[in-house]
Amino acid sequence: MSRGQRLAFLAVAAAIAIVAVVVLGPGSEEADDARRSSPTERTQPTSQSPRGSGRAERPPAPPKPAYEAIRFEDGKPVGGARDITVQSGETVRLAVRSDRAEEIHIHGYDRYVDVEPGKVERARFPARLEGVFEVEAHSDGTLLANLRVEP
Amino acid sequence: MRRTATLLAASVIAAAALAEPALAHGLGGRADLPIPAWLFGWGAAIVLIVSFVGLAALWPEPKLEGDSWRTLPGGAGRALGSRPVEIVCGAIGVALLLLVVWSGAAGNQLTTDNLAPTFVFVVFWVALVPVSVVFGDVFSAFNPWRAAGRAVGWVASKAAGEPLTAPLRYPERLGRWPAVVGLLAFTWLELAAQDGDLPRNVALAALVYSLLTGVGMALYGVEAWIGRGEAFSVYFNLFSRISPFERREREVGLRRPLSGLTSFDPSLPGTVALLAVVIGGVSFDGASEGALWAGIVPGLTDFFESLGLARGAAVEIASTVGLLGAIGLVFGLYRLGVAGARTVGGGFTTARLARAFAHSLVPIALVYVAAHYLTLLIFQGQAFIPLLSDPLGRGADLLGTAGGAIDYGVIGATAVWYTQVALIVVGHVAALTLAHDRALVLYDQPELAVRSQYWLLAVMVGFTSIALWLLSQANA
Repeated sequence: MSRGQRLAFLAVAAAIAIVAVVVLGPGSEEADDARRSSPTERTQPTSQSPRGSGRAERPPAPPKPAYEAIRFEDGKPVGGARDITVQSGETVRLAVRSDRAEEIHIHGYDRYVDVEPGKVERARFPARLEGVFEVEAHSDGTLLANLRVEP
Repeated sequence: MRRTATLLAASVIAAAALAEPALAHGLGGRADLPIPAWLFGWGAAIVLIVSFVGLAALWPEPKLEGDSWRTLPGGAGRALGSRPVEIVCGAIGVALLLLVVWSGAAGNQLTTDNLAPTFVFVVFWVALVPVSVVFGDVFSAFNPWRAAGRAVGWVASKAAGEPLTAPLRYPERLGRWPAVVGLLAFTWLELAAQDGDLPRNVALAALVYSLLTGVGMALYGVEAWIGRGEAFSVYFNLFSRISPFERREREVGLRRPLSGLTSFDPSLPGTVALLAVVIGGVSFDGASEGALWAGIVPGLTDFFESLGLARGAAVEIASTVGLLGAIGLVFGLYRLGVAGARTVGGGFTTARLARAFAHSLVPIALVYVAAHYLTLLIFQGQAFIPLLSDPLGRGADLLGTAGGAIDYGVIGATAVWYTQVALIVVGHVAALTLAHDRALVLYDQPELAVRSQYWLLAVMVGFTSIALWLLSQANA
C-alpha cells in the first residue's frame, strides 16, 4: 500500500475522531453533569417562600417524598408491570396494596414485604445496587414492577 | 399432584408475562441497564477510528499464520499433559455430569434453588468460554463424554485383546454439521423453549445428549466424533484457539495468541453455520430484551395462536422463529460481505472465501458472548458456591457454603458498560487482524488482499455495530 493511501486512511480516522468529539463530547458531559447534580438538588429543595401570599411567616412544609404505588388485584398488577426508576444512592419508596395476603419480593435487594389484604404496606430502602430488578409476588412469581436503579 | 398444578400455573403465568418485555433468563431476577446513547455513539466512533487506523497500518507479510508452538519449560508441559492428569480431570467431568442429572431429576424444581440450571447455563455454557480463551482447551480434558468413551474403549480393547476400530468412517460431508445441530438445540433450550430452565428438563436434555453422543462415539470412534460432531467440544475448542496454550499429544505448550485460529480447518462443511448459530443465538437473546422484538412478538404469537396452537406453544414457536431469523441474518450479513470481497478478483468462489475467512468471526462470536453474558457470569455465577452445598435445593449444607447469597454490588452499571464496549472494540480489532492475515496468504497480489479487506471491514463494522446496538436496546 502506498504512503499516500496510508495517510489518507489516517486522515479519515482523524476526521471521524473530530466529528465524534464535536457531536458527542460537550453535549454528553453536560447531560451527565445535569444528571449527576439532580439528586442533590432534589434532596435539598430550594426553600422558596410562597410568592404573592401575605402569610409568609409559616415556612412551607418540606415536600413529602413520593411513594411509588403498586396495586396487586386479581393476580395482576393494576396498570401492568411498570418501571420504577431511581438513581443510585437515592431512597426507594414503595407503597404496596394487595387484595390478598401476599409476600412481595424485591430481587437483588432480597427484601420481602408482607402485605395484608386491603392494607397498604410501605417499604423504604437505599438504592445501592445498580441494574434492573424484578419486584414480584412471591406466591406465584407474578411480575409486579421492574425496579431500575441507574448510576 | 399439587406440585404439577403449581408448575402448570407457573408456566401459564410465565407465558402470559412474556407478552411484556420480560427479563431474559429465569435465573437471577436481575437484568442489565441499556448502555446510554452517548456511550453507544462513542463505542461506534472508536470502532470506526480503530478500523481506519488499522487500514493505514496494514502489514505486508502474514504475522499469525504459521506454527509457533513450543512446549512449556521445566517439564510443566509434560506434567500437565500427562495421563494421570487426564484421568483425574475426566473423572471430575463425569462426576459433574452425574451431579447435574441427579440434582435436576431428583431435586427441587425451582430453577434458582437447583444446581442443574445454574451449572449448565452459567458455569458450563458461559464460564468455560473465558476459561478456554485464557487457558486453552480445558474442556477437552474435563469432557465427560470423551472420558467415558475412552474408558469404555480401553476396557473393551483389553477384553478383546486387540485395539478397537470404529465400525464406520466419519463421513467427510458431515463435517461440523452434527455440532451445529447440537448447538442450535442447546440454544433453543436456553432461549426459546418454554421450560428450558426447569431442572427436570435440564437433566433430561443432558441424558438425551449423552445418549446421542454415546451412539456417535460408538459408530465413528471417540476422537472422530468428539472432534467434529460433539457440539460442546467444537464450541469450546473454537474459543480455545485464541489462547496461548495448546495441548499436543501429551504435552502442553505455548503459541502466539490468536494463532491457533489460523489452523482451524475451514474446509469442513458446516463451519460458517456454526459461527452463525453462536453469533445469531446471542443476538436473539439480546434482541429479545429490546423494543424491536417486543414489537414483533405479540403479532407473531397471535398468528400462531390463530393457527390453533395453545398460548404457551405459540410463544415458543414465535421465539423459535426469532432465533432462526437472527441466525439467518448473521449468516446473510457474512455471506454478503464475502460476496463483495469476491468482486475484487482472485478467482475464488463465494463459498471458498466464506470458509477462508470464517475463523475471523471467532473473536466476534467471543465478544458477543462475553458482553452479553458478562453480568450473568458475575452475578449468577456466585450462586454456584452455595448451590454446590445444596445441589437438590432441599436445605442441605454439604460444604458449609449453603448460606451464601449473590452480592449484586460487586460491579456497578457504569463499570459493566465500559467493560462491554471495550470487549466489543477488542474483538473487532482481533477479527480484522485475522482477516487481513488470511487475505495475505490467500491472494497472490498484495493489492487484492488489501481491497478484499474493505469488504470484510464493512462486515466486521456491521457485526460490531449490531453488538453495540443490542447493548443499547437491552431493557431500554
